[in-house]
Amino acid sequence: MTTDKAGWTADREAFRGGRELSGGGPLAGQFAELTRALLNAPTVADVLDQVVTAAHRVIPGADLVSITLRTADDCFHTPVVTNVVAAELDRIQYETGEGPCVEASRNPGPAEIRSDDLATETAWPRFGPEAARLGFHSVLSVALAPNARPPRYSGALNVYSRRPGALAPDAHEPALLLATHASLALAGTTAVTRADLTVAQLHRALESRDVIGQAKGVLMARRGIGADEAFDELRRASQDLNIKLTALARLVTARNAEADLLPADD
Amino acid sequence: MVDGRRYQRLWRLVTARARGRDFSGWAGVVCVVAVEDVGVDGAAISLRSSGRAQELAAASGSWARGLEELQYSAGDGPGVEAFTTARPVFVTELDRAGQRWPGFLDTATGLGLAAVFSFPLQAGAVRLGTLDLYRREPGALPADRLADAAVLADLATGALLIDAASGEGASWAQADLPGHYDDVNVAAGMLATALRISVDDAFLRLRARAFSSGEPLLGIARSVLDRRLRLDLFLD
Repeated sequence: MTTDKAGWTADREAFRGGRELSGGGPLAGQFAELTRALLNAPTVADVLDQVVTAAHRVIPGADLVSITLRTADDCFHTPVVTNVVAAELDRIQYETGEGPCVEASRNPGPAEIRSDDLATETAWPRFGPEAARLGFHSVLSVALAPNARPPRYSGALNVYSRRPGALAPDAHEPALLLATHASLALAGTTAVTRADLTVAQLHRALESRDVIGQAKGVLMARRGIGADEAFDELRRASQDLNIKLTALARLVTARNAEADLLPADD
Repeated sequence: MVDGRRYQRLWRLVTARARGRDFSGWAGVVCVVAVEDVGVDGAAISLRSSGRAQELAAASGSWARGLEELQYSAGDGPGVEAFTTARPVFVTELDRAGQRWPGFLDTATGLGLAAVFSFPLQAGAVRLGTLDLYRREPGALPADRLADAAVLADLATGALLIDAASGEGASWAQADLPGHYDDVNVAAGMLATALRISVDDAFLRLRARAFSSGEPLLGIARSVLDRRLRLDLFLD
């Protein structure tokens, strides 16, 4: 018993360490890499994070990826995104009650909902134009497998692209594979409760707060203003541009990082 | 296994305490009960993440708060380890802890810390943060007190979730209110812009400065914000 367990642990450790990577081409390699990352992911939220990151990497044309979770009482959440703009695109769908992520998570099963031209999409008269206004023109959502045990979740993996028709007809294949990983992670524990989602939101708040603080600092240094003034300016710009404060802050700090690459002009 | 009666007794202590006039969230009450019931000198609850982000949710007093801040400054310490490993971390004689937590240990013993008991706060499958119990006397906790501490860690988890969800929600649960370590982030943003380096790099330089000067990271950050510290001191 003990030796079996030790053997199993050793196998798993070896796998995690990458010593058993067999051949089979770049796709097999990518898959092994993802599986290893998933094994190492300590929490459900981390698994979901890995899934959206992998989808962003392997699906050609994918600019943004998110996961939608829908609770039995019809509340929608976006626990993970590759970029905050994806959370905004999801939110518009939750609010208007239309769009692929809402449809896919209301119809758990092998559903694949897509649009190749959101600006002219007649199925979603409110979400389509709004998404196009934000610069996103095609979308693909695949349903997560529903959780058999209570609490019953359904959900979707959502892939957004800036270009019309950018997501290939077979893009749903890797998306479904990754959605399965996400479903397994969610089903692997009876502990995916509301608390988990609250925790995910709390952790996002932690990181958002850091980036807002950093953006304040960037503005203070650039303009020689105080912290309160910098925050007011961020807040005002966020309202004027209709961009969430966190997204704007991320933009401000990212621009600053880009500036690193430029030679000093003074 | 959670002992039902122990749980009930501690829950009653917490709810009785929460009727006090200075109630400002359940997490704070759990810290107060931890100090009184477990018999330690300080208790603190921090939200932690796998990255640099942390938030101080509650502390029983300034000593415990300082020790939490020190873990943030150093990026290591018993709470950080309990969170990362998902296991409780007990150090009963801190001055014999050797090379563990190089950034934390010396300063902590200097502040009078002799023993520490850190519990990961687990909400379902995910970890939220830690309950850190600090004591000025070395030595283990009696088994009975240790069992109480483990139950209080459970209550602390619930306390955080309730605080975050109730009413407007606790300030630490809201992304657009400045957190306990806001000044450090602002200073990192300033320094990054002034020196044309990344925010991560700026953070590391602030931390290095705190480490070499023995001043807390928040103090260094505030000196940068008040422009009391010349930014070129942070150049390589």
